[in-house]
Amino acid sequence: MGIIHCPEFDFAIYTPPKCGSWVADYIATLPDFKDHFVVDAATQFTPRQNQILILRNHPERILSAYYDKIVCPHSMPSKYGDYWREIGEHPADIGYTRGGVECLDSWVRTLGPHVWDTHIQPFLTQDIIMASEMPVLCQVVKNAHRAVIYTHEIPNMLMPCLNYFMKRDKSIGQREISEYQTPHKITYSTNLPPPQKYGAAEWKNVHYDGLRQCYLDTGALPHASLMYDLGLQIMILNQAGYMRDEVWLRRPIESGPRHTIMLVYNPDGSPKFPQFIPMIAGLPLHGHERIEYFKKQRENAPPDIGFLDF
Amino acid sequence: MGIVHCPEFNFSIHTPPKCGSWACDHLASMPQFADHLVIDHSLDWRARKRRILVLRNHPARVLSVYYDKIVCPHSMPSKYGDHWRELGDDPSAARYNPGTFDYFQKFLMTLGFNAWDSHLQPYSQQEIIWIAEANTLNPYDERCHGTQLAVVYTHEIRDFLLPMVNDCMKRSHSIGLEDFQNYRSHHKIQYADSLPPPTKYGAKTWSEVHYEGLYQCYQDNNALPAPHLVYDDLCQEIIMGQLGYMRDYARYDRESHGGAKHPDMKPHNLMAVYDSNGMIHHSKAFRIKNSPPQSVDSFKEF
Repeated sequence: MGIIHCPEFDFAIYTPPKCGSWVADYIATLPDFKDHFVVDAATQFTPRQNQILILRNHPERILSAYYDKIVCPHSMPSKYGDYWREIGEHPADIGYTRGGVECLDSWVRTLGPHVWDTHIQPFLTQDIIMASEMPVLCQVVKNAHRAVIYTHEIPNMLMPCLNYFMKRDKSIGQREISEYQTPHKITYSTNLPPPQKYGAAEWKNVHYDGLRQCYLDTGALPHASLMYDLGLQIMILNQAGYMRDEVWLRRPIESGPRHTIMLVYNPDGSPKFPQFIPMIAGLPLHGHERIEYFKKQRENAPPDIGFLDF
Repeated sequence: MGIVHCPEFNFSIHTPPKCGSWACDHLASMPQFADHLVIDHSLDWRARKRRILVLRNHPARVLSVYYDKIVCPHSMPSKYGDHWRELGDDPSAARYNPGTFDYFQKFLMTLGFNAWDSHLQPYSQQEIIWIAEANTLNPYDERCHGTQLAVVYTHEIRDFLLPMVNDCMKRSHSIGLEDFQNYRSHHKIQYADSLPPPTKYGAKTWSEVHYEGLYQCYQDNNALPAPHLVYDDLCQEIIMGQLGYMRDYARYDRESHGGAKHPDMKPHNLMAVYDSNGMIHHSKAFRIKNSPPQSVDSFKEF
């Protein structure tokens, strides 16, 4: 899990934890792809000519980790036998800190002590993403191309990108990926009973057992736009590690940032706190030595894939 | 600045911003080393067999940035012309986000907004450090095979950096040591334990004194408060909430990885505030639970 290679066409797909590794695994099983892809620990860090990074918006990733690991509304037994509800009586039984997991508010305030959890680590501190930088840093690959695809774009953009690298019709496999639903996906909703029903005035303060009850009642958990208020949004923005991800890995769009990995989004795709867009967009990439290098690579990149434009 | 290479003996020294690049620059200028060490941008990303990482304690590093860039007590003009006091009316003239820098506690609570500053970025997110890990992350580059990685903390530079460099150069560990230990960085800001109370400068705690108050403190005493005076329990907790720094701690903790060791090297916690005697100042500075050694499997005895 994490990196899938296509040695034949010399590219790799990099998916950090909580960033759609399920889809990469699924693609590797599709008839049109399985003979071309390799998931092999022995080749894990082999540098490739072209790279696809799949990244997830950080507020959603943190919330997803909270729902998945702390609220833990899944049916048992789990695939890996690692849900706290089947192991003990508290999330601390699988390593989380008491006092830091009772509600989303306390979770976001105590992210640091939970840094051992790969699902919340900044992308650039993870081997998977560091490895994707190595070909350029070590100068073992010339003319590297890189694409960044956000998880919400997977259904529409991933297949065309893969097929582009495989030099064939961009629509191959598109129907399958559009119809696929991951079996462990937790449904989010904005149409729920009020949080008071589950014990708190605001969703961010509802205890994890209250959220589980919400899931049992409604089949869904609150959408990110319900869980994050301004204070929590600012706490995410204050994480220097996440901001560094944003600046280094963002995919600029000519008309301005269409998506940042730092902001909370509404279900319609609009940012909940748009006042932070200018600040995020204005963050400079300080001391970047490779600007000219990547600008040259960009000249040959196709316009519809979204190559990083440093 | 950043990486100093020794092609002859195939090692490099990696110093992220605010981690003693002055020491490496000085080292490269010393007669015993000048012919062996190279600061050359065309070589910057070349992987070397042995790498020495010079890292600084994060609370001390962030405070140093605040003093250097925000309080800015230096005489003008500056070497690079980038001190805000010679550019404009407040630190925003040097690109720091307005509303983030009035006093240290606020600066600490809004680090993300100033993450463009390489002096504040987590080590594990900087190219200087990535390239030091090329052996584990790019095993297909033959130049990276059989490598060793060592960590030296900035407070250990005077005693251990030269012996380590000399070891890499296969010669007596004491060469240049006396010259090196006598060297003083000219832009170093003095810290003090013994100062007037913070109330003299406008706040109940040092972490809430306005940067102009700290500037006045420097004018009065020729020193600024030592880290353990500025970091109260809240500040220690805030900095431990930074995922990127905690990730550095988990990844580069010398002790938990076996560590490159000189017999006299002592354990050091990258996230704890230390007092002037080298003791951890806050009981809340804990070791990370359940943090298995990460991918840095190349820590070896030098």
